Amino acid sequence: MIRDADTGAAVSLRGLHKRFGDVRAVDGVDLLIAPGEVVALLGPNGAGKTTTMEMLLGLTTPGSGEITLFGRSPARATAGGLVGAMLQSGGFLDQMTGREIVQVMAAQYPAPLTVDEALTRAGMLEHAKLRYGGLSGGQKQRVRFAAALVCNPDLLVLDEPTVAMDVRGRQDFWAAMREYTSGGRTVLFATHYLAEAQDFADRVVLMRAGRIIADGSVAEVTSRVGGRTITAAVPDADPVRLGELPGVAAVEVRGEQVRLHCPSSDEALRALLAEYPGAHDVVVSAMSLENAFVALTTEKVS
Amino acid sequence: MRTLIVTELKLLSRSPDFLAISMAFPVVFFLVMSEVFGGGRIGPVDMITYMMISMAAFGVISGSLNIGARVALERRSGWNRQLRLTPLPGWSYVASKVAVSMVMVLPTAVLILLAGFLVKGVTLEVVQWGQILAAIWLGSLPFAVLGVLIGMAVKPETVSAITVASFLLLAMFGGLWMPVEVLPGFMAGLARALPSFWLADQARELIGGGSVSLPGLLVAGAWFAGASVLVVASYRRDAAR
Repeated sequence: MIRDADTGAAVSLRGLHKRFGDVRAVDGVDLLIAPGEVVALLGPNGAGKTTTMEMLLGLTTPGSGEITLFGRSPARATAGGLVGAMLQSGGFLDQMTGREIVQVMAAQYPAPLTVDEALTRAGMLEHAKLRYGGLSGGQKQRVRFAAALVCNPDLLVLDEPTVAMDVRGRQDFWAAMREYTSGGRTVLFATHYLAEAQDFADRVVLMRAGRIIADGSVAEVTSRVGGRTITAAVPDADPVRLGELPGVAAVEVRGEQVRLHCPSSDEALRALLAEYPGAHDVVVSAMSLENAFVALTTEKVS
Repeated sequence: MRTLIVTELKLLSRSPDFLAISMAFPVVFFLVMSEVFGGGRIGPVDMITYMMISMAAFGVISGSLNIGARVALERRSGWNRQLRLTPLPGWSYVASKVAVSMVMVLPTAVLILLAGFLVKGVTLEVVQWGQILAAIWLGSLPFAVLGVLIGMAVKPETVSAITVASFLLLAMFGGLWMPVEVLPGFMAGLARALPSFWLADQARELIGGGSVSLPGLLVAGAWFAGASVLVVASYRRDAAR
């Protein structure tokens, strides 16, 4: 999993552990993120996502393990203005206006964006004079986004960035993110909305009980749980022969109706059509990330 | 750090009632106490001047410790966690709080001296007024750090109780309400271990023609150093969370 080329990695986590009392919040996480990757961190509550993010930002000291961001320690990477973050535990003072918040953040960095630009990108420019305490949940998230962006970071770390946003707010948020990442910047975000991971991430990392249990593209992760399903009407279907087709893991036959669970649906489909030229009404359906997520995160811990 | 201080002062100016109350409180105290203790002299100064200096000390102490409530609020809201994500070093955060505290207590001290001059008819040389103000204001430094410490080390729910208890104890045992000269011997001894006693005592010595006392500097310095070490420790504990 760990490659030698990790000197150029945007994020490198090796053997990361963190305990809170008897709870192993993070229990051996290795993760390498290349510059320009957009990675979604998924997992049920308590999986260790937030703790992992806080450790990689240097907010929480790891029990053991190594963290580097662009080859530097978290403290040096944040001090250099390479990292911007939106945290659940981070917050702002209710009496400050959005503009003041972004100004204070901008003032700490060597080469920040202008305050106006950060506010514009986050879609918060016109409401920048309002006090934080009076903003809606979605507007607060935008201020947080502007505050994370203003240092013009190479790596953005976002812990549930769209929580409390309505559908429209989420769309706007991800549109702004796309614009931001089109410049080749790295993003690591945790989310509960699987659709966001599916639509936006190049790569999904699934955590459970402090460990990474799946890591890859959406297609790769979903294939971990049986990949795709092929359904077809197959005259004279023979379950044994079907089960021996390459790429097929399991077979259900009801009369002419056949359902094949396929780790490799492409291979299975070619073989199916070659073996049964009379097969018709073929449907290949993707295992949704949601199904994969439920399957992977509810499996018994081995 | 400058932006942080300016913004913070701007925020404070948005709650003028809070500022007015925290500044007026010690002035009222002074006016009442000076009536109670009336005339007479203690050591180099008359009783009214004595109480004016004591209450100015009390005012800057309570004002300085109040910064703890801000720090606690910022910890609860996650603001200082957010700041920890920036290049702003930890000492800078503490320094900005100390600076804000010192800016805030200056008007409190000035108001009490003004009340002494205008209402109580205290007459001193210009130099002496300057000496009192300088001693009280610069002497507030350890209390500002102590305030930050309370805000960092104590749970947000208990900060205001601890703050009030601290400045009451410091004032009482430091001889700010009742001159150490009238306190029983062991309490007078205890007072000399407290920075609150020395805060007022230095000012009194200076206008009496004396110089800055070394034991006073050492006690204030020890409190400053002790509070600073504990602030660093609490900051690290927060960080290791």
